[in-house]
Amino acid sequence: MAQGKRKGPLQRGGAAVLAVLALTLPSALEAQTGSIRGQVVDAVTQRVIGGAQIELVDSRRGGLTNTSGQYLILNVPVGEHDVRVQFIGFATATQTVTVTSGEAAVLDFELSQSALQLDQIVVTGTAQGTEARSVGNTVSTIDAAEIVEIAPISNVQELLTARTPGLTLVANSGQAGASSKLRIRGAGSMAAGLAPVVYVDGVRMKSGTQGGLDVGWGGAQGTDALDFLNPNDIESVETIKGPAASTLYGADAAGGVIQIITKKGRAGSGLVWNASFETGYNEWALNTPTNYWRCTASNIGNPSIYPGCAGVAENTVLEDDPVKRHPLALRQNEGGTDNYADLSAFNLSARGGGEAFNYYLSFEKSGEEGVYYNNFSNRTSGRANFGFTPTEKFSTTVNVGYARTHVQMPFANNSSNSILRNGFRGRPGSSAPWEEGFRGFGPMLANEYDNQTEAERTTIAMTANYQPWDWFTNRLTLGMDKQDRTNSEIYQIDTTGAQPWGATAAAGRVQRDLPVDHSWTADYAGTVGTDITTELTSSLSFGAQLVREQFSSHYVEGQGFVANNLNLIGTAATTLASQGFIEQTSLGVYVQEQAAWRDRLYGTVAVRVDDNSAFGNDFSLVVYPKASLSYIISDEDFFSLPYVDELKLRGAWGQAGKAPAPFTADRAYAPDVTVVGDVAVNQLSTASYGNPDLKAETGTEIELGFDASLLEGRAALEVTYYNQRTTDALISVPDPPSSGFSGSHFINIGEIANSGFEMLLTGSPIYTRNLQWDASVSFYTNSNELVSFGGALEDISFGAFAQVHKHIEGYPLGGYWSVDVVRDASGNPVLNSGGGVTVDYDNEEYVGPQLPTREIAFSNTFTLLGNLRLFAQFDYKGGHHQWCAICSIRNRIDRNSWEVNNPDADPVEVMVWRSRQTKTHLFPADFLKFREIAMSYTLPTNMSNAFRADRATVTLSGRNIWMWTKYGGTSDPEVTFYSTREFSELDYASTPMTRRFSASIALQF
Amino acid sequence: MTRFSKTLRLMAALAVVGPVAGCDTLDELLIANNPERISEDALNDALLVDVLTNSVIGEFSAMYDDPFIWRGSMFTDEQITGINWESTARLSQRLVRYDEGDPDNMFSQISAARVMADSAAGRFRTLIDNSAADERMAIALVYAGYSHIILGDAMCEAVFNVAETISSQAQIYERGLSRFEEGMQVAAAAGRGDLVNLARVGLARAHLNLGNHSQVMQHASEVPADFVHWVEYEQTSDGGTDLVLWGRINGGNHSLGVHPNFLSGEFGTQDIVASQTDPRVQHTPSWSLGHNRLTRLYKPYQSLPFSGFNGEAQADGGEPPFYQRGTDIKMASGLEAMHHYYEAAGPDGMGPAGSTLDFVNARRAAGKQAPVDMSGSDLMAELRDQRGRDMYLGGFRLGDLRRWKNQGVGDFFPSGTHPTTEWGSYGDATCFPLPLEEYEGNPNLTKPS
Repeated sequence: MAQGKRKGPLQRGGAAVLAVLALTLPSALEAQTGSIRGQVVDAVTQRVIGGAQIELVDSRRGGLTNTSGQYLILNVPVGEHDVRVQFIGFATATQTVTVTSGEAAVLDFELSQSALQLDQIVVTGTAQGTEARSVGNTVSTIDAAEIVEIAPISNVQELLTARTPGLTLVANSGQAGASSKLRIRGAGSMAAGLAPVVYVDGVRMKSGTQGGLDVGWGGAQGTDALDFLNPNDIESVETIKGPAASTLYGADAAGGVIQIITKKGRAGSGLVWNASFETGYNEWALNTPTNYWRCTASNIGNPSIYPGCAGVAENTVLEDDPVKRHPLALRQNEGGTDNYADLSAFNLSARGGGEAFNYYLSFEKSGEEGVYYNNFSNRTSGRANFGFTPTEKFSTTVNVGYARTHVQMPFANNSSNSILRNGFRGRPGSSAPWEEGFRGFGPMLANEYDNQTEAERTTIAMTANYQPWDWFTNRLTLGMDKQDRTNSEIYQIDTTGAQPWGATAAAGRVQRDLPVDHSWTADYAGTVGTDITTELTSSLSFGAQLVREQFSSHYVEGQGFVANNLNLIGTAATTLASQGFIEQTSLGVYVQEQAAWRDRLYGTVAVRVDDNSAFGNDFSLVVYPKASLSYIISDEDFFSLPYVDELKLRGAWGQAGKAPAPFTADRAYAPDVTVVGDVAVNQLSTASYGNPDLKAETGTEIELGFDASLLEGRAALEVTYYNQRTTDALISVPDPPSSGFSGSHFINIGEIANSGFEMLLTGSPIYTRNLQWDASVSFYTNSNELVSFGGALEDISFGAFAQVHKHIEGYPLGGYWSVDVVRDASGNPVLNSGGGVTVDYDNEEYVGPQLPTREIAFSNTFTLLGNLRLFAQFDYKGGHHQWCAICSIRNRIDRNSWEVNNPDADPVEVMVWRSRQTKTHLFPADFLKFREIAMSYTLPTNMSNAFRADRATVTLSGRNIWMWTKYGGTSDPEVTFYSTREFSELDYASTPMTRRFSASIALQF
Repeated sequence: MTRFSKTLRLMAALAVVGPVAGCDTLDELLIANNPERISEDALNDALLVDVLTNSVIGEFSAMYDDPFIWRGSMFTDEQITGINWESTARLSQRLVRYDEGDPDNMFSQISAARVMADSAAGRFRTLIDNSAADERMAIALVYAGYSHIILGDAMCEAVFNVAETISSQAQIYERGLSRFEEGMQVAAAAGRGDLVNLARVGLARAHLNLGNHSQVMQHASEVPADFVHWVEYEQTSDGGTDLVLWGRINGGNHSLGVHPNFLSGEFGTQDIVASQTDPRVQHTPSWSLGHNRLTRLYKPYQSLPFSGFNGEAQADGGEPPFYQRGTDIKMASGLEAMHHYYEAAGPDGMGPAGSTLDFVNARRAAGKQAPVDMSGSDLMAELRDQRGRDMYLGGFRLGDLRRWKNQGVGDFFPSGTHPTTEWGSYGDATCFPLPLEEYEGNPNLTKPS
């Protein structure tokens, strides 16, 4: 696109920039000053580059280029200045210009593509913002702003999925508003949690699955704590993946750190408005299992129980798919009251800044319906980010986020009252308790379930940077994250006498659970810079970090309504109340020294000392060291490798921890209520067994790799090998019940290993003015092993519906183990004296891991004629297995699968299917998903102007378009319903990821 | 830059870190409050004696309806379950594995009650000035004794206080005797005759299981006929004080039904053929499918061990009540003492209620059954039949069936094909094994091979 070339800097968009700047900077063009203007374009394609950051090197004043690639810097002192331009995907360019009084100097830039961004500033895992070239570990960065612009992203989970090698999202459900589990580099802990810690603009955030009423086993899905964030507000996401990089985060960070950086304004740029509107729908994309029933002579003669078998021939096989048949089971079902699960989103933001300030303001309202009638997820949010730089020595930012979310969750998975469970477990032709074909509740009753969560989230991040001397910088971040939730459920008075929701709910029942999450972050870092020699420099950093988290809850309930419309808790016949409170504080201090030699060899050593309120009384401080080396070997004269432009070799070793949960170290009792003499009185019950020696797990990691720029910046390759050891791993050991305690407690005794490779290849195979193909391929492997139980245990067997998981030395944590029936030497089942088969519980066989061991993501963006973009992303995960618990239950309890109803099946094999063996119900769970697709067209300027916009883009997008898998279970192998546990993965009537299509229009003013 | 200035800068940096790292207030920063928790040390507070006494009663109540009655009765011929959860449902088949969940529930919750009672008694010796004459001490001791009886009735074996010694069923009962004896003395000194009688019934029950018949008769004969002590539940409190049976019997996902042995006719020949006219063992006239949508369940009405029914309503043509959330259960009674007495006395016994035959016919009359004229083993069989009806779902059947089997009277556990025929046949378990949690959490034990 050459329009930037054809038009002068004062035309069209540039004029708007000028006008705003003229208003905000009334003193511009004063005597002894001039201005600098120009345009930034791609050196190869000559396409203009909008949004590039441009600044005077000496004063750091500047702004962003507009949509025409133009910029203007006013009030520049006369004289010679270096001007620097940075834009992601291009090499940083610096030129010198001479400004004369009252004149506008013209300085155009042509940027060269650079897939490798060694000059990029990273802020995660370092004491201060640091150029990537000096960092000895890998820091993965997602350019969220660019991805959200093209890909169908409605929440942080979708933004993080399949974009960072080593970062895995384990989806709990395809329901709207459901959570995912975050995993980085496999499973590094048995009992201290696997999730990384999450920061937004330097402030610790609550993340992960949030509990609520009925959330957990046999209930509803939990909501995701990060869903409060509007993806449109996110500039980038940095991820560091293990102890080698996360040492400075201390005793919480062995699972990695995710830092979400929100959008900021740009000092010196004009006001830019962005507005977008999206509409679309979700739909159920996969098949559902068909239910079968073979009518026996006995069934035919018993029409009261088997009405569908009346009058049919013996061995007639009836079949049914009640989930797809029933009009109210799924919104899209034919004959239903609603044909689509609708979604919509509206975004509005303003971004800009003056000479000494910048701002970003946004508002968003979005919502989506799930595929069930009682499932939706809505969000209304706003953000106000301000930056102020009164002097060159001092700057401050205040970022405030506010969001209200509202989610309704249906009963799901193993709930006796969920649609899928009862649909998958129904018997065709059999009398059903509520609705034909459903084992328990049918959709009529299941849709009555009303479980809602309303949340109000406020986040504040304030950062001050102060540089009293050029050799001493200070940064102080203070922040808060506060979330108030209201979880509610209500049951109307049952007038049928059937008491479908139980005897308590039959009289009318209302519940309100009011949890409040609060966390505070105080983070100071100081850096002293020293030029030891002309070639050797030193940066000595030191800092302290305090994170305090608090959870409190109040629960109230009313039972027994006077009438359905008089359903306040206070008016109920019986009222109940309880409260909860948990608090945890972590404090760490650190010192780091980084030495740089000739700007190409960087060595870093650091040590962090941590204490935590969750540590036992007999344990005090924990010390985590780190060391890393980064070498830009391509800067050496001797370096010469064909096709390699830049090469950075890096290595890092470090430690970080995983603290135990609050109050698990203390032996304690909890207040409770009992009845004495018909009066409710206080009592105490055992609460926690405790362990006075409890301390954090220690993760130790070595990370080796290189980053290379290839083919004159057209491609970049990042390769990393990691090897992690978790020592003093927390193992949850049962409290010996003979002690009177009946939970579990932690001991620090285990050892866990993780290792693997990560690779990220990005580049532009085609790079011309009219056609550009940008592609990226990421690859990740993980090998996980429980090295030792420390002699405490032989193994831990667990699992839902069958003990299919084991923590056992020499195998992956929570790996799948199967049992078969007793077989003879030929492999045929041996019949017992009763004529049946016998499950051989004494011979368990290892099947495979439960977390993916290899992941590949492949994304492509084709740009035609500069304004038509096609985007597609594919996501592969494999090497793991899945326990299809509902397959087992259908075979042996419901007996509604084809395997056990096939009239031609071998009767012995049918007995095997119907037994409690697990071997035939554990499946490889590899899948390849066509995850995202989008077609985006940026209207020509004259058409955009019809909307009074500088830029207008129309996008059609889709998500979860198609899946290729050999998985033999009932649903989506990506989904596992156990949102509240780390290792018990299973397929049990889990809602698959839904397919989504949407259309959007985005305008820039 | 000079070395001196570099050093100055380094010192400036350390000067910032040093005070933070060495600050005396760090510990204060790390204080985390939790008003939901009370440390074990804090229990040694005289102000908490009443709360600890409530705790002894509360932990016993929490354990008594579930798991003890609810899960324990699944092993017997009192109930079948229509629960959907397999590991629990298998108990209804007398199938139990030490590494599945339900043995843990049984042992852990009874142990929680036992430990609470034993530890409270231990604390009271120092927290109460005259503990030898204090009713709260008596409560702790007598409830400790009953916890041992419940433990003995349910468990095949037990471990106490993370020890390495595994006690047999008989040893468990024997441990309870000393609690009852001391509790009886303290209750008498405190002027609490009801607690004395509670201890007497407990002693009779423990000695019956140990085969000490003379002690059974001695203690049981001293219990007034109208004595009753309740395990209490509440209508208007949170879920923790509800009667669990209420929830198991009611609602769309109900899961407890009367076992065929206590039904009339529907499932064929029974060991105990109850007439619907016996007010002590009543049920709904038609079945409904339980939580598993597979098992036919006849919901029981209240029987004699429960507070809402005294057996008279049915005799007058009324209908016994269903279980309620606040229905209480008899922990001990004069009627129970008489059953202990006459079982120990044998067919030719004489006691407070006359001869054994007199007692049996009195109980038959309560069940609207005609008197019989029996002797010897027939009479004792009828006594057992009446005991089963009088104590129905009250928490006695598992201990009774085990005692009769262990003492060679007979094996009356259900066997053969399970009423839920798709489940196959009954297994042969008679008690709950020590759970996996004890083996894994107790460093003194080794898991069974």
